[in-house]
Formats: sequence, structure tokens, C-alpha cells
Amino acid sequence: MSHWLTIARKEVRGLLGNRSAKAGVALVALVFVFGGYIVPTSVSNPTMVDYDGFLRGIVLFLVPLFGLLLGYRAVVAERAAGRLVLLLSFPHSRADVVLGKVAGRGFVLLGTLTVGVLAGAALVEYPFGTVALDAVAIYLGATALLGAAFLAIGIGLSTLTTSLRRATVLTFAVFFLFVVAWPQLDGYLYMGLEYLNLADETLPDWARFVHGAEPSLLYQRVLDSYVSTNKIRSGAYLGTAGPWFLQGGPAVVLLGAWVVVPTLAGYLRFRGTDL
Amino acid sequence: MVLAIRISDVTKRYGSFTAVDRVDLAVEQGEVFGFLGHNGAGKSTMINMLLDFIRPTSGSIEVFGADCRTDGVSARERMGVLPEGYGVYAGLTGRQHVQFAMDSKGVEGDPLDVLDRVGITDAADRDADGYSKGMAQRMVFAMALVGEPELLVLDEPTSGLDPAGAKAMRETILEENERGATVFFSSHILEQIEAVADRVGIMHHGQLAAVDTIDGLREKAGGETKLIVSVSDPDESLPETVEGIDGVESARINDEQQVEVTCAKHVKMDVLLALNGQNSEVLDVTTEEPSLEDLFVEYTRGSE
Repeated sequence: MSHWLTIARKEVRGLLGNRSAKAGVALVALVFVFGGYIVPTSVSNPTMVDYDGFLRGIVLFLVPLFGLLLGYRAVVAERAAGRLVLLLSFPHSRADVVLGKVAGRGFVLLGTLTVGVLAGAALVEYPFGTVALDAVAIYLGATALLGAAFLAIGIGLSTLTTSLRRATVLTFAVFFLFVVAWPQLDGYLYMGLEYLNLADETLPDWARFVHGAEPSLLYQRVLDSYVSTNKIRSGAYLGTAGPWFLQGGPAVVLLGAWVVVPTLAGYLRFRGTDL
Repeated sequence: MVLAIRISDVTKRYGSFTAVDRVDLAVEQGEVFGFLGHNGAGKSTMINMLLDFIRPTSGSIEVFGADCRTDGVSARERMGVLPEGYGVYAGLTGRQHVQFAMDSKGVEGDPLDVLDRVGITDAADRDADGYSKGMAQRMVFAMALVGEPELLVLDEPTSGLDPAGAKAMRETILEENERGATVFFSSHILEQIEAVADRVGIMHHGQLAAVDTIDGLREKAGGETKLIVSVSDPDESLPETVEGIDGVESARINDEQQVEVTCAKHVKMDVLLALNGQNSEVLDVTTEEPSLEDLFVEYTRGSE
């Protein structure tokens, strides 16, 4: 068995043996199921568009938080408790450790969202709704990518410091910046650009691209492109008439980059440090 | 034959503090090498560099020819390690810990076999988080034994063990050595090292102060003997008489009115005859052979 797979398996076993992790997993899955339960009570022929519409605001907070919480202790807590010493006294490389942790925790994340979304979608479908399978797949895929991006950011952060307290502070700072503050900044960005004579009536497309490159905005763009197409809900997407780089496809790629880049940066950082 | 461990001119600095200072060391295959030193002398820093937990500021370390820095995985594939300052996985039992060690090394078998060797079979299915320090130490030792490693690296292996447990572990170390394993272990307790090591390295203030066999060290230590002689009529002239003998380094009357003589081993009899010959009579004699402990103190005193 590959080294990273050995570590990933142990990660999963460890998370499932931990009571607070189990409670978190159950809570997140239940929110998705709950959405599927509520939507049909207010809409007569519900679809995934209604499900997405109902859950969007909650998911934008819940999934990034879940990803960060799954990730931010991954390395730093093990290091503080000396488990990293035990782990690395075996023939595992630092890459195996980071990859194993991302894979193991990613598996738990994906499993949670899959169970939640599939059960939620089933409740939307039955008895009066219509759920397109491709819409469910895209919704699940995008939501999992959003979670994975924040998981990777969390794991990346956990390699930056040896103090668990500092890692906690950093994690909540990132959560606040990315999830709470950043999406509200487009107004200021517009004002700034207007002052510099770089914007006319609205944000120029390139500025919209830069501002929208944050994971939760990318997630919105993906859903607006592929799931809730007739009901654009966020300012991150201009519809099919917009430039190519503001379409759903590039957003998927960028969201994927948010998984890869923090993981890689975390690894490079971890590779170079003393335990 | 390739060396089990080759440490070449290794230095580790933390800012202005030098934890390990230009250490050179070669450990042959099949030997039991004891790494002796006070706490904070740089033993663990050295071992942590061997395991690539920390990186040397300069110099290189090889295990069976594999560079620990660039090829750490191959180096550790041939090692069994009992590190210092480890933590166990809460939620995993002793058996699962050993299973993880087996998976990590690609070894098939029953975890109970090694748990049996360290004597914690009864606790195999309990959460390792509830183990005492000694039990955790045995469990991690069992993890180190997995897969018959060619090199055992043990950092303070007997810490947390009771005397019986420490003795059992020493026996296992010797069994492993019989099997052909090279053993590299550190301790701040001389008896531990004396009991099992073929060769000893004394680490002091980051430097390797001495490397020799146990016998070699004893020889260095055993060159001189202290005689304490009770005589019937202690007199200031006695030390002077004795100091005239070739091989006597010093002599004096101590607070208890005994004659204390430091001399080479082979002149002990001459000293006694000289003391007995004159106005006084020798009533009692005790000798103090300098121990390895004294030698250790000698090596580690200088810059205290």
C-alpha cells in the first residue's frame, strides 16, 4: 500500500473515532438533508434550483467553515502532541504526510457532502419535484470543491506555525476575510477604481474577475452557470453574455487551483522546516 | 562493508546557540553503540537529524549509504525507531498502532507477536491514550521492532520504565543485536550503556568528547587508584615518604587522619610496604577504583 494511502486511512479512522469530528460531520450532512425537507413545503414543483436557492446562503458559511475546521489542526496539532515524530520515524516522506492528510480529510468531507446532498436531493424529488441528475452531480461537485478549497487552505495554514493557538487565530482570520468580508468589498473596489478613473458605470470585467477569484465567489459563479441558470443570484456572474473568463468553466478551474495551490504551498513549507 | 551510520562534520545551530558542533562518527554494522551525555548535551538533536526531523546547518549523515536528508525514506526503511517526545494516537489501540507500523513498512504478520515481545499483550486492545508512560514506551518499542530492522535507533529507550522493564528491554536489545541488527541508542544513564554497548560516544556541549569501547574507557579511567590507609600513628612525614616512590602522584593525610594516596595500580604494594615499615603500622586499607562514572565526569566537567 502506498505510504500516503496508509496515512489517509489512519486519518479517516482517527476522525471517525473523534466525538467532536463526528458531531460536526453529522451536523453538516443534516443541514443538506434539512434543505431537501423544507424546500418542498414552500414550492409546489421543486427542482435543484430551489434547493440551491434555499441553501446558498447557509452553504456559503457552513461549507468553508467545515473545510477549515477539518483542516486547520491537521499538521500543527500532531506536531504539538508529538504524533508527527512517531509518524515520521517510519519511512514516510513529508509529501506522504501532507497528501495523506488532504486525501483522508478530503474523503471525510466528500463523504459528508455526498450523503447530505443525495439525501436532500431525494427529498426534493419525492413526491412532487423534479431533480435532474446532472444538476445534482454538478451541485455536489461544486460544493465539494468549495469545501476542498477551504480544507486545503486550512491544512496549508496548519503547516505555517508550531503553535495551535496561533493556527486557530489564523484560521478564523482567514474565514473572516474570505467568507465574511471579501464578498462585500466589491463596492469599495468600484469606488476606488472610479476614483482612479478605471471604472465607468460598473466594475470593469477584469476587476470583477480579480474580486471573484475568491473561492466562495467562484462557487457562486459555478452554480449560477450550471445549476441556477435562469435565476442568477450573485454579482459574481454576468450570464453567458459576459466575457469568457467570467464563465463557469474557468471558475471550476480556478476553484480547483484553490485546492492544489494551498496544498502545494503547505507541503513546500512543511518540507523545509524542523519538527 | 558499508557503515550503518556515517556522520560527517555535522553542525546544528539555532541562532547563536550551537546544539551540535562538528561531530564526526562512524558506526559499524552489527555493533551496539551507546550515545552518552547529560540532558541537553545534543544527543537528541543528533538523533533527530539522523531521522530527518531537523536538518543540519552543515555536514551530512548517511544510514547504510543513504543520505538522511535527501533520501530519508530509504534510510528510515531500514530503521526501527523509538523517538523521544512522541505522542500516541488517541482512539487507536496498541494493536492498531503496531498494525499502522506494519502497513507503513509493508510487513505482514500478527501485531500480537511484537506486543508479546515487549510484554503488553494484555493491553493490546485498549486505547493507547490510556496507557501509562512505560506502556506507551513499550508499545513504541514494539513498533520499532516491526519488520526486523537492520538498524535500531533508540532515544532514551528506558525512560519511563521500571527497573524490571528496563532490564527486559536491554535483553530484547541484545537479542536484536544477536539477530544482526545494529543498535544506536542514547542515554544519560551510564549503567544502561555499560550493560549493552560495545562502543560508547560521550556527547558534551554539542561536541563528541570521546569515542571508545567500554574496555578502552575503563582502561583510561583505571590507570590510577586511590588508596586510603589507616595507620596506627599518622604523621606528616608519612606522605612525604610515600611521595618519594616512583608512580605515586600525590599523598596526604585526610580529615579522618588516614593517609590518602593517588598512585598507579602497580605500585600499590610498594606504598603499603613503605607505610608499614617505619614508626607506624597499617591497620586497614581501602581502595577506590575510578569508575566509568568518574571518567564521564572527567570528560564532561571541563567547560561546566
